[in-house]
Amino acid sequence: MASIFANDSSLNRTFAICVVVAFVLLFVDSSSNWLQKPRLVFSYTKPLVEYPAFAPGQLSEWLGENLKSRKTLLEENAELREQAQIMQRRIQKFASLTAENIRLKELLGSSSTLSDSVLVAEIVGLDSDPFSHKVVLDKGASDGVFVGMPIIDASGLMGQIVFVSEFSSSGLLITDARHGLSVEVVRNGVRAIAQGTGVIDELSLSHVPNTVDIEVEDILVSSGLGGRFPQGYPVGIVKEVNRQVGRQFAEIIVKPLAKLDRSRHVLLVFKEDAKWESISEKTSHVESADD
Amino acid sequence: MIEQRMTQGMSLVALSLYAAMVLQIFPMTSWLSYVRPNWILLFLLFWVYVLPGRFGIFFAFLVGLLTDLLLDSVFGIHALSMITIVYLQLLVHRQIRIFSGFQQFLLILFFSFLYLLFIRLLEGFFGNPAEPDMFYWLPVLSNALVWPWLFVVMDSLKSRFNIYENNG
Repeated sequence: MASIFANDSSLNRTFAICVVVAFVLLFVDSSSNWLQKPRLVFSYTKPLVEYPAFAPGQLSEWLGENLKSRKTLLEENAELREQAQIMQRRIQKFASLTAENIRLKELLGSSSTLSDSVLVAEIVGLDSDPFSHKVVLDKGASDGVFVGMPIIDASGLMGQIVFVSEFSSSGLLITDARHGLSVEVVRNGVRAIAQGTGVIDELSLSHVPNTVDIEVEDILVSSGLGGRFPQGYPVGIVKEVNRQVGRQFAEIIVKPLAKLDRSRHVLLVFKEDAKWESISEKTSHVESADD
Repeated sequence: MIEQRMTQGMSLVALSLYAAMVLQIFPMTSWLSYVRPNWILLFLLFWVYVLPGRFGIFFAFLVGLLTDLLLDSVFGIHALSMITIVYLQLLVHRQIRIFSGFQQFLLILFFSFLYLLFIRLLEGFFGNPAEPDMFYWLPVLSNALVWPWLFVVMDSLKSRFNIYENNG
């Protein structure tokens, strides 16, 4: 019989030491970012595990793209060209609107917030835990990605970068329960905090008084408060409003506009201001609504 | 000769844990990802089961920290859960040795439930406060169902690689 079992006390001692160390790690890592550095160093070895895990999916994607017939490609090409023309026409309209908008904003004396530059990234992996909404992107610090960078797709705001290594980064989606962002209603400018729920097609608005004018089908955009997200990107559409007389706050469910579980190519938004550099917090923690 | 066997053995352990990590993050459709067994935990339990003298709390702690790193969770969540399960396993390891298949099934069921419970509590307290639905507990069942197959395969690999207790 092995020696370790001659005395159970050594087993108990090892266990006690490990429990204490684990608790210290838990407290330190959840309340500070001291352990971000070692995490970063070790993250260079992560592709060793990630590469073989993600390779089959990427291979099948590659095959699907490269083994298309000439006919499908031609059809796709024609369709895209048509779409491009439609978009072009819309942009022409937008150009005049943009000019008008800037002029009006100048009249109001506020700075213009338009024309952010972006970086296209591809989602190469998802969090394997279905209750945690994180994505792995193929762009990292070498491409200029930084912590806190907003992620958007063609239809709305998706989330933000929470961890950056040299050649990849991971992003937290707005529906993750750890995520909250400041939004405003397009119709009347009412502000609220949109908190993730852990369900992929649901956000909830926290601490909204019963009497506030928010209705079903209202569109919410990022308000730009807090400095993390630029103003005006669409976030979601109100799906359900429950006002109960006995309760202090209304219960408002929002459906995100971005295709959180379908987008493959996403945009990372740069902002010319160096303002974001100063933000060092990992995520914007917001208390969840209690009633 | 014995030295060579030892390194062979260690490489099998490392390789199996590597495979477990790949399986743990292998992308699957959303429905399948709910029943994904906790591969890393299962391989850990296997090695502690067959070689309790060589793999113990420290080993579990190391594997737990690597899991935390891999799954991007707060450091200590998986480590603490894994050492607790392995501690329980080591306390009763002599009884487990003579367990029948069904008793082992129940044991893995129990350990998996405890493991997920610990993860849930620690995540709620230190990490992700999401309140998952009952599907969260599905891996309890899949762990117990996968265990006998994993055991048979790994046990035959183990005897092919000639891994034994170093002093037993």
